[in-house]
Amino acid sequence: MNALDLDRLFLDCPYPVRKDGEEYSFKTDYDIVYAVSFKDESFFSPIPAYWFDLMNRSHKASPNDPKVRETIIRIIVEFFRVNPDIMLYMCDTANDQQAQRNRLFLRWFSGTEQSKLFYIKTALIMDEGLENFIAIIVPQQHPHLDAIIERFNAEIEMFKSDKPQ
Amino acid sequence: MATPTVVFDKPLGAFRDSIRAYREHKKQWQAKMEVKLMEMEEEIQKAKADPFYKVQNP
Repeated sequence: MNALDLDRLFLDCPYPVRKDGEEYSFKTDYDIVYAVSFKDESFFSPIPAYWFDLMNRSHKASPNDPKVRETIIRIIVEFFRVNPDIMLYMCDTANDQQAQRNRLFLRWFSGTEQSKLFYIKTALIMDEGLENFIAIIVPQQHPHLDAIIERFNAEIEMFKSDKPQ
Repeated sequence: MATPTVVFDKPLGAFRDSIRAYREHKKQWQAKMEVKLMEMEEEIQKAKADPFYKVQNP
């Protein structure tokens, strides 16, 4: 994965983003530290794909803070600037709140001007007794967009037609 | 010129393994973050107790 440009993020993000080991992190006005990480996924190989992960490291309830949303969106946009590939996102299942997290992520993402540049789709799959909300985000200009969507949809259909394992 | 058709390396059905591997990775990452947080809080407590204490990871 190509590293994000911290100087560019510094200029764009409401909260300063720092590289913290393999993660990127930022601290809010409410003393909440968020960590963002990316992990390689080989399922779409030879097209690069990455899981996007977001964690509230402080475990404090986060007030409605538009600067958090803006910072995360800027990180995602910068990610795609240097990695114009595939991003996957799976909502955390802690406290059984994955459906709400999925809705929030979609609202955050779709509510931005930049979202028009991307194809986004979410799917609910059941695996090992867990509800998993998975989102795929691909730049609209990706040369293999149709093939990627077709593969993602086919895989989701397979999940739905399978009996629980 | 038309974009060449992409041929994926992995067969359909392999996404299930990817999802399970990622869930496991996520658990480990969260556990690692918990440890980092505890270390940060220890540092903060030490710094609060001793004004001359030098924070290790400012």
